[in-house]
Order: sequence, then C-alpha cells, then structure tokens
Amino acid sequence: MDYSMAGGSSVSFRGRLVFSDRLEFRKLVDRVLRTDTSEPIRLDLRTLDFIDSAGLGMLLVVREEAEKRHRKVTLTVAPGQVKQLLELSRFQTMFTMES
Amino acid sequence: MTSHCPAGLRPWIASSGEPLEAALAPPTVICVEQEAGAPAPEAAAGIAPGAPWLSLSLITATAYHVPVAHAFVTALDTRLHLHLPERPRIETALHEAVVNAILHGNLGLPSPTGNGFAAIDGLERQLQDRLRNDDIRQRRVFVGAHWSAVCVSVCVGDEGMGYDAGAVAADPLTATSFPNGRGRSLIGCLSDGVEVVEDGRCTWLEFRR
Repeated sequence: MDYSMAGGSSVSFRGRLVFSDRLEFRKLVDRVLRTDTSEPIRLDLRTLDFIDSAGLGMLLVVREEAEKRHRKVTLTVAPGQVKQLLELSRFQTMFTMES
Repeated sequence: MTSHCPAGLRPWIASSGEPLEAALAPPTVICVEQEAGAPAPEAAAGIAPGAPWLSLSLITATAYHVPVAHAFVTALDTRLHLHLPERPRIETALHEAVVNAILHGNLGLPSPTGNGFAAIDGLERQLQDRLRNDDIRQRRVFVGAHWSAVCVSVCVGDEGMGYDAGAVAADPLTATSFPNGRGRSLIGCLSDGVEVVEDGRCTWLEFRR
C-alpha cells in the first residue's frame, strides 16, 4: 500500500490495499482521525489497482471510527477492480462515492 | 539451482530475493518453496509431464508475506494470455481463497470479532500468536491450476483442520463491518463454480473463458 496525504483529511492510495496492509492502514486512519477538524475524510482510490475483502473491511473501519467523531467519509473511484468490488459490496449505500 | 531437479520442478527460496513471479515463469510446472538449508524438493506424483498445469507450494509464514495470487495469476497470464476482465476476476477470487487457507486453514483463526479498530487489533494479536508456533508457520499452502480453451480451474489447499463447508455460512457481501466472511461471498460471486473438497482443506474455483 502506497499513499500520499493532502492536508489532514485527504489520502490518495496507490497500488494494492489488502489484508497484509492492515497495520499500516490502521496507523494512517488513526492519524487522519486525530486531525482537529470536522471536515469529511476523503479517500482517493482512483490509482488503487487492487483491493481485497480485508481492504473493503478496512474502509468500513474508517467509516465506523469517523462516525464516532461525527465525520463523513467520501470515496473517489475510477473504473476497474476496486470499483467493481465496491459496487458488488454496495458501498455506494454506505459511503458518498465520487468518480 | 535447478540442474539436479526433475524437469519442470523449480525450487524457490524466499530469502533469495528472487521474485516469486520469476520462479513461476515457464518452463516451471511445479514450484516448491525450499527452506534455506533443506534438501531440494522432489517432484509431486500424479502430474503428467507436459500437461497444461502449474502448481505452487509455500510455507504459511512465506505465503502470509508474499502476494501469492498476483504472482500465480501473472504466471497464468504468461501461459494463457488472459483477457482483461478475466485476470482481475481470477486474481481476486484466488487471493481470497489463499487468504482463507492461511488464516482459517493453516493458522486456524476464526473470523475476527468486534468493530472498528478493535477488530483489527484483536485479529493481530491472534495472528502473531499463531505465527510464533513453528509447527503452524511451516504448514504448506498449495495453489494449482489447469486449463483449456474454455475453462481455467484453480485449486487452493492447506494443511489445517478443515471445515464443513455446508455448515459455515458466508457473510453477505453487504456486511457493514470489518469482521467478515465476505471473502467467501466474493469467491462465489467472481467464480463460475466453487467446490470445497478434502473436508474443507481444498477449494476448487472454476472460471469459464
């Protein structure tokens, strides 16, 4: 998993988000959630090539933890494997999704 | 390294730094992880020479760290020239099956419980505990595939306790929290056929072409 941050609430991911990334992802989310703002958390997945069921679960963790802090999560996606899995899992009903 | 091995059998040492993709490249038919200092593996029985087949055997501790499905499907792509929708479909389903074989098969972990960070943290504690057990970390994960013009069949096996596939319900794809058997649902959704055999220790996935 590679990522870059813009401001305290926006993260762009590259490469793969899979089971083995869970600890690094957890630290990243913790850092994002610590920012003292009510801004929505924006996760840009357009350059993410591959996600697995654990990666989907990790996005749900962001949502759960953000909700505890009264923050929304927006996912930005592009056509491909990631978008296919998000749609199969009906993430559009749980997140704000942008293209 | 391979000169004393039967044709098509390729030992691979994880610590050598050689990418798994390279070890799986043609003319490899059977790739077996060889632990450093251990004797070279012998050919598995029952594979007809020249058959359109590819197989891989890794220890759990390695399979946990290496992108197994990506390497294996890259190797299949080299041989089959998979078309675009086919490759991510096979890779995603295979990846889920391999993760299941590692976590629920060889490591014997149940699906995590709890929500949010607590689910990740709980899973991590159990996982590290199992990986510290030498007998468990040495268990093998097997991946195999054979193919024709109309079908690709892939199997994933483990050396765990097995399970009763008929008695374990997969969580729906639409589960809303981290703990999930969502992987099994994804496998079913992306494959054209799924068969669990050997008392839950081997899963065959079929993909029509």
